[in-house]
Amino acid sequence: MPSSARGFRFVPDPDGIFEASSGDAVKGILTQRAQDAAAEIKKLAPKKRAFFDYRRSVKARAAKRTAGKGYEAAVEVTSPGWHLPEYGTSRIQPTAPIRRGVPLAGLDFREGE
Amino acid sequence: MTDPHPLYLPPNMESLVSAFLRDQAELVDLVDDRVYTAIPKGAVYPLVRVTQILDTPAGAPLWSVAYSVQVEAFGGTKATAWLIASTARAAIDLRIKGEHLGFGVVNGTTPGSLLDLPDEDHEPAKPRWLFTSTIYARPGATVQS
Repeated sequence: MPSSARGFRFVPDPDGIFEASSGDAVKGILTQRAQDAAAEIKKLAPKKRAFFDYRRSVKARAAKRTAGKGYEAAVEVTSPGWHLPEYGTSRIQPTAPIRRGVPLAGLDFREGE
Repeated sequence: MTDPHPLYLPPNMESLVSAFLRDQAELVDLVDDRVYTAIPKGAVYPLVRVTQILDTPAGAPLWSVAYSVQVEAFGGTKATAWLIASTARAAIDLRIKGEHLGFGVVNGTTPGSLLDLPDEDHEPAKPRWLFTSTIYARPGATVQS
């Protein structure tokens, strides 16, 4: 944290961020957050329709160490029909279980990330 | 007994955006007044559908709200659907800020990505482009209960 004439300026240390994001405590927290998001998505998911079992296809993936990035956790939706409730069609109103569920779990959601 | 505190309702963003888009000359040229929140039976294409996905209050007291709004352009050729969606996105980005009588006040927007997601309810699938913008708004003087 270098000092200047006007006080202190915070300069993030990339090595420090990597060290913090690689700790075992972070692994547990990230896994819990993924489980929270999956639970919210399941609440909003439609019931089984035709051969699409939306709720059972939502899974939280435990945090894993990734090369150079520390731990990362994820939520996976494996049903090939998830785009139907998420974005809708001309006959299906979009209910966006993923785009609503992730923020409702207290996490930021940005398309494409 | 004291008078109850007046209620200030944040805008119905789905209605605000659809009314706003119906009022944009460039969009009227492309879809007339066919901007819906639910597509009616026998609707004429091309058309636009507006859906409010999520409303997230900034905090307490309830005043400023961030809305996620999905806007879809259905039908016509793929290029027409893209032009409609792109026009709607630009209009929201550049013109929606300000007071909307009967609804509330829009403080700003963050445009979303345009996605090419054809409508699978038709065979072959009809062209559809969509985007989801975040719109920040608050109650206006005209919506006090």
